[in-house]
Amino acid sequence: MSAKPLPRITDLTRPYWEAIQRGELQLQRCEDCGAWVYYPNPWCRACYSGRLSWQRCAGTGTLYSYSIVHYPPYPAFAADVPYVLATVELSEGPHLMTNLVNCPLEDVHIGLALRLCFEVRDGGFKVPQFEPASRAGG
Amino acid sequence: MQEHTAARGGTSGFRPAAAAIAAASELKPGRYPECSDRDLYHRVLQKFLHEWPLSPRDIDGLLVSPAGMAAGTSSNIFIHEHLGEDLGLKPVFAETINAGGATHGLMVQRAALAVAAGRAQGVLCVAAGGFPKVREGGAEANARMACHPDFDFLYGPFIVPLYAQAATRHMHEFGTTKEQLAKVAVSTRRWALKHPDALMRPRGPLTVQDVLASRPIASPFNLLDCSVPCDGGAAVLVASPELAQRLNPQPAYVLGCGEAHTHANISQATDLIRMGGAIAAEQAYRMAGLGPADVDLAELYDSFSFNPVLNVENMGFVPRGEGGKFWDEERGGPDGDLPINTYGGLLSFGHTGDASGMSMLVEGALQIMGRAGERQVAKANVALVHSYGNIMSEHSVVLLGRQS
Repeated sequence: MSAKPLPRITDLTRPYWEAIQRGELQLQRCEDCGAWVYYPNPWCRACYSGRLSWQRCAGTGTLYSYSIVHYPPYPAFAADVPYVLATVELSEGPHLMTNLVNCPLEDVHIGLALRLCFEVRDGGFKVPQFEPASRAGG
Repeated sequence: MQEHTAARGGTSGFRPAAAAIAAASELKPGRYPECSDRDLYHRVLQKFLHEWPLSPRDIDGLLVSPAGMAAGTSSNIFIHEHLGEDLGLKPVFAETINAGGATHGLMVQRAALAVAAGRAQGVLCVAAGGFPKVREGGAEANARMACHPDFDFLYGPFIVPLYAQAATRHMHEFGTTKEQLAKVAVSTRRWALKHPDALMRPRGPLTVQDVLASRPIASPFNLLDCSVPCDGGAAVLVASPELAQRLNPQPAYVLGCGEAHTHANISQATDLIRMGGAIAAEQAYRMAGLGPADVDLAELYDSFSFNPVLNVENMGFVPRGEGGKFWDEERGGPDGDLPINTYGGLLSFGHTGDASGMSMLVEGALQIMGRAGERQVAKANVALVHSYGNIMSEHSVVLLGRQS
């Protein structure tokens, strides 16, 4: 069984992944117009300013849309079915693709309040995930 | 209802009916394991040249889509040169172009604009290839291409749950049901039973219960909500009215066209309800001086049962949120008032991947030409042909019609 994928890390994306390894979600934000920038990009998509800084996000959001996957598309996810491929709307606005984890399938619904959590993959590498904000133990 | 304020041909610089699809032909969808990519292009062209009396003098433009793009491994980026040579052409307007499933709609648009501008008289548009097999690594190769490889890909996406993000959102906002989605598959199968080449024709009719009882793939889609991957190809000739009329007593005139490219990753689409197809359709209607009520039939790219639910809305046929109701009322079927996917759709005719956007173009053109056989729609003066690439990332709308 093959391992779940890891990202290729470049100079552009390294701050994102370093923050994740520390347990924080950080995204770029434009210092000129205030727009959030995701995915990591050399310039602001709204105004083309190159003055971007990495800022910590609250790590909260809501479920914007999702699909419950029953058929494993490739071996790395065969052990995970059924799993939830989700689009989360962060409290700051940007949308991220993620998995909704630690959630009974019957409780999955659009608008569900979510919070950041982490999945540890090969080599101890953390990948951001989201779980219900109401889950005990947070 | 669409505004009709813009003058016919309005702001576009394109004169409606300045070009026409003069000839159209499609290979029977299926698997062609004995064919190399080049062989498959040749099969397409042999059939096309057998059906239409063309000589090399009639063709001065050549647009080709690269076989292998759906698998993300195309080695055919110079295929227009090779086919040009094989066809004995020295075109003055040619390229290999790719915009996924929207490629073929955009080929016709580019060709029509070139013909209208006097750059070419007859532009041959050719596609061949297939949809990679899901079980042979196709799902992963597809997913790496269809979303960000270093972010979205980490979460186990593939084509089905990526599209499902839009379907789930529509169901949430408007109460659209799985039964309504299933009715699209049922309606489309009814059309496929009238097409001798449709891949699913031998399977016979489909019921809503069949769809709902089929294997779940990724919610809300079951197996029979998904199109059928296969190989195939097609060719069309976009010609000046003079050439078109010489080749065909009833060409399919290009009345209007439009396109929109809104995102690369479905997670970054800012609106999952009003998508790029709506923008493309507005452009096409404005160019043609027509509105949705003028359309007699529509071919809407249907990689999943949900897509024609969304796109009867985005094409302006019904108000926002009422796509499900349209299919409840069976309006798109053989007995309906607005026939949709009259060739059986990607759902039941077959999804040829690299060439998929050709299927709805060929059918739209054949309907306008009056050559659609058993499935010919009685009133076929205006046909709308919508296609898109990737996960509804880029859209093409072409309006074809009988009147010059």
